[in-house]
Amino acid sequence: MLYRDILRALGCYLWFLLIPLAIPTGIAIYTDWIVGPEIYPQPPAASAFLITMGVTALLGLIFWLIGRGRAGHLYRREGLLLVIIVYFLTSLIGSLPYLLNRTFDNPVDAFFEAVSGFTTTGATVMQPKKYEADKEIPYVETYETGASTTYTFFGTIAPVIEKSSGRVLLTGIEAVSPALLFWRSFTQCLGGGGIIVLFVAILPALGVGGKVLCQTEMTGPTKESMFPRIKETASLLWKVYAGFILLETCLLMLTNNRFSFFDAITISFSTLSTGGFTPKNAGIAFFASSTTNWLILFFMLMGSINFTLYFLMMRGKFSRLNDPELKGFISIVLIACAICTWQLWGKGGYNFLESLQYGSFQAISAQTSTGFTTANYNLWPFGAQALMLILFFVGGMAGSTAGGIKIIREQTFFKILVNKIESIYRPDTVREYRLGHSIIDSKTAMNVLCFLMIVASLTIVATFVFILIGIDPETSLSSAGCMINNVGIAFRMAGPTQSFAFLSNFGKLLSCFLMIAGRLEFFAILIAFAPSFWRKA
Amino acid sequence: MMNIVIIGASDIGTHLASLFSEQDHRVILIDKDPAKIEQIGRDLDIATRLGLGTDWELLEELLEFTPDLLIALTNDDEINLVSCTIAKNLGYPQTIARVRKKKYFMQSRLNFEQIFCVDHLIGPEKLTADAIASKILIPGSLAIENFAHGMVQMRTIKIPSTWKRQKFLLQDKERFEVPQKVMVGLIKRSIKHEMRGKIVSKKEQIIFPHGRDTLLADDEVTFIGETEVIRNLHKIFGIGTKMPKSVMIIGGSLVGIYLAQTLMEHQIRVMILEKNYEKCALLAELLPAATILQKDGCDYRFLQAEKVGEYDVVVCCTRDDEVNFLAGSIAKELGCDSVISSLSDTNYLPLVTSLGITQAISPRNCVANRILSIARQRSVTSMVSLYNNRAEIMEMKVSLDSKIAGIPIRLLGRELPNEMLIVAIQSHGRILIADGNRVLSPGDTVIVIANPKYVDEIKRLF
Repeated sequence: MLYRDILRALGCYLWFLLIPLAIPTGIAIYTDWIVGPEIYPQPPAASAFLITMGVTALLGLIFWLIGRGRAGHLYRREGLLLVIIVYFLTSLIGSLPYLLNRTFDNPVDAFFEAVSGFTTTGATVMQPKKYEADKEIPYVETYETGASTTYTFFGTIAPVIEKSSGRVLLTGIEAVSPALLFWRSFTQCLGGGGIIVLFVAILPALGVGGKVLCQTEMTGPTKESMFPRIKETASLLWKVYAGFILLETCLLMLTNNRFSFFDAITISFSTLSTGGFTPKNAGIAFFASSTTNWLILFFMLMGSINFTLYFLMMRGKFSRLNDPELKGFISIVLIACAICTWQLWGKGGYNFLESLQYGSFQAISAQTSTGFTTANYNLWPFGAQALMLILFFVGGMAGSTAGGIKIIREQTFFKILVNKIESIYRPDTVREYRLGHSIIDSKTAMNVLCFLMIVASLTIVATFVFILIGIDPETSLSSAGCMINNVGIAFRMAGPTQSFAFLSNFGKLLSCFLMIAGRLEFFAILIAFAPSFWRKA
Repeated sequence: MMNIVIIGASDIGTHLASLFSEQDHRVILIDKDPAKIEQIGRDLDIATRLGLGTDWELLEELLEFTPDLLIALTNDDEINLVSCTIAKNLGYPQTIARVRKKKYFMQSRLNFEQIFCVDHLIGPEKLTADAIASKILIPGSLAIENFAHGMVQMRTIKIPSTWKRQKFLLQDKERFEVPQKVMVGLIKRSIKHEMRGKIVSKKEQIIFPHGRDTLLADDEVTFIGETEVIRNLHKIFGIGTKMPKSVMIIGGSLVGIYLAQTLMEHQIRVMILEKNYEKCALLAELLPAATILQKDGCDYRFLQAEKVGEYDVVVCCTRDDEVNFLAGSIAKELGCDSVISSLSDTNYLPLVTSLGITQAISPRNCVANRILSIARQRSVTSMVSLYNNRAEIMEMKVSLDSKIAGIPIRLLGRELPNEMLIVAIQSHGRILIADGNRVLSPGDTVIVIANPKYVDEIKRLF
C-alpha cells in the first residue's frame, strides 16, 4: 500500500474541501458579524467555521508534506482505500462546526449528523431539549409492541432564549445557526452528487486513479461513462445536478411565497440529493401547500433517475428513454403510490385527494431514499407502513443519487430467477440473460446476487444488534433499513415526530458505519475487512 | 484535445490508447474480446466499446463524439481496411489503417489508400525494418531525422569516452570545435550513483541544454543544424563512419524480410537464421540472394562456428523479446560490436544496454511516433518524439499576432518554458540556426525542441 501517495492525494483533497467549506463560512460571517444577533438570534457559528477551515488547511498541509515528492499514483487498491478514508475524514471535518459552536455537546451526535449528511441519509439527532422549571428533563417514551419498551433520553438542541425577558424565541432545528443549517443541507448536496466526483471534476486529471475513485462513489452495478475521460463525465454529472438544484429552487420560490431563498435552496439540496434534511421543525409540512408537495415529489423522482439519461436527452437521443430500468422504476413508483393511496383512503379522515397526496409523497420519499415527511405515518394503517419499509430497500435507479438496492439489480435478479426456474424443468436450455440490449454475464450476475445477500445479511445483523442494545424490534428493523439504504426516516421511536437522539453512542456509531457502507454500496467498505487487502507482499 | 477512435486492443492499440490518454486526448477503444475490454477499461482512463470495427452501426453511434481520427490496429489487414472504409464513408475526417502485407502499401498498380478511403497506411513491421535499416546504413548516429525538406537535420550521437574537450560551457562552442551553425538540442545523460566503488543506481536525465550546460563523455547528444555541417560532426568527436558489409539477421519475421530486402539493395551481405523450415523455404523464395539457414538463433555452438563476431551487425528480430535478448547477448559475447534488437515490450528498455545490446528498436514506438506525427499534422508540421516521449521536436509557424515575434531570442528567456529550445529558423527560404540575436518574424517556420507537456503553451506563444 502506497500510504504516502494516498496522503498526498488526501492533502490535495482537503485543500479542495476548503472551497465548499467557504460557503457556509461566508454565510456565518454575514449572519453573525454583519447583520448581528438582532435578526439571527441563533448561536453564532462564524468562528466555528473559521476554525474548521483552519484545521482542514493545516491537516491538508501536513498530509501533503508527508506525501511530498511522491508521484501520487493511485492504483486500484490505493484508490479504494482513499475513498473510504475520504468518507470518514470528510464526515469528521464536517462534524467540527456542529461541535465547535456547541450545537451538539456530544461529539458522536455531531459525527452522526455529518455522516447522515454526506451519505444523503437525512437521519437527524436534532431534538429540542425539554425543560421543566428551568431544569432539563429527559424524554420518556414508551412503545407497546408485545413487550413494552421505554426510552429515556435527553434532547440535543438548546433553545434560543431572549436574555432580557427570558422568553423562548426558537426551539429545535430552528434554534440552530442558519450557517450550520445550510452546511447540513449542503453536505447532502455534496454527498449526493459525489464529493469525490466533484473533486475529480475540478482538480487536474488524476488519470486512471480518478476513474477508480469515481466508480467507487457512483451508484449502480455497471458504470457506463458518458465521455471517454472520467473528468468530463464527472463535471457533466455535476453540471446537470447543479442545474436541477437551481431549477427546483426557482420553482419553489415562484410557487410558494412562504419560501425564502435560504429555505428553497437548502430544501433543493436535500431533494435532488435524495437526502432529506429540512431547516424547519415541521419539515416539509411547514410550507403547507399541495403545489410544493407535488413539486418536491417530482424533484425527488428526478434525483433517483439515472443521470446518464438526462445527458442523452440533452443530446436529443429520446429513443434511449426506452430503457428497461426507467420503465421498471416508473411502474414501481406508480404501483406503490396506488397501494398507499388505497390503504389511506377513508381511514384517518383523509379524502381521496389527501390520501393521494400524502400517500404518494410518503411512498416516493421512502423509495427515493429522501426521507421527507408531510404526515405522521406512524398512525397510518400497517399496510401503508409495511409498503414504505419495503420501498426503502427497492430504491431508485443506478447512476442516481438515490439509495437502496436499485431497480437494475432487482431486474437482473428477476431475470436470473426466471432462467434458473426454467433450467430446473428444461435443463438443456441455452439462453442468454438480457436486460434491454445488454447481456448479463455471469460476473455481473454473481455481483448482483452477492449484493442482495449483503443487504439481507447486513439488515439482519444490524437489526439484531439494535435489539440487543435495547431497542424495540419494529424500531430496530426500520432503523437498520433506514441506515443501510440511506433513507433517513424510520418507524415507531424513530418515526416522523421523533429523531434518532434516543440512540446510545454505540447505536449512533453503528448507524454511521451502516450509512457509509450503504452509500458506497458495501463492497468498497467490506474490502477494508479483508486481511489480504492490507497484507504486504 | 482530439477525439480518437482506436479499433483493436492489440499490443500497439493499447499502447497508443494509453499514450493518447496521458496526453489528455479522448480515446474510445473498440475490441471484440470482452475480457480485454474490461481489463483495459479498468487500467486506462478511456472509454471502451465491445464490438467489431466493421460494425457500421457502432461506428455511426461513435460519431456523436465528433471523432477527429480513427486508427484501425487489429491484427487482420482486411478488417482494418474495411473499418477505415466504413468510417471514412460515415464522415470520419481522418483514418489510419495498420497493414502487414506488403502488397497493400507498396503501390504498383492499385492505389489502396484511394480504394479503401484510408488516409494513411501504416505497416509496423515495415516501419521497424526501416528504422533498423537507417541505423545500419548511417553508422555512428543513434538517430537521424530531417526537417524543412531536408535542409535541416537532426542527429543523435553518443560521445565517445575518449573525447577530450569536456567541461566547456556550451556558450563558447568554438572552444570544442563544434561549428557555430550547429545547435545542441538535447542531452541524455545517465547519472551513476557510486558508493564504495559499486554502482548503486543509474538514473537517466534528459537535459534541455542552455548556455551554461556542458557536454560530457558518454552523453547521448542530439545535434540539429544544416545537413552539410551535421554530416561532418563525426570527425569532430572522432567517431568512425564505416559502412557495414555483412549483417546477420536472427529471425525470419516480417521485419527480417523487409530489412533484408532494404539491406541487399545497398549491396550488403545478409544471412538469416530461422528455426522453422516452412518459413525458411518462404524466405528462400523471397530473398534468393540471401543466405538462409534453418537454425535456432540461440544456439551458442552454432553461432560460434559461424563466427558471428566477424559480422558487422547482428539484428535480432524474432517475435519473441526474450529470444531476441538471449541471441543478442550471445552475439555480443562472441565478439560482435553492434547488436540491434527489436523489442515489443518497451518496459524492457532499461535492460537493453546491460545485456550488451547496442540498440533496441520498438515497433510499438515506431508506430506511435508515426501516428502521433500524423495526428498533430494540422498544427505542427512534422514531429519527432524522443526518449519515450520525454522530448519532442516540432516545426511551428510564427503567426501574425504572435507574442514573441520581433523580439531577439535572447530577451525571450522568461516568456519561454524552461524545457524548450528554439533550434532553427527558416525565413524566406534561408535556414538560420537560432542564436540569441536572431529575431522571429511572422511567417517564419521555427524548429523547436521541447518537453511534450508544453505543446499547448508553445502553440499559444506562436
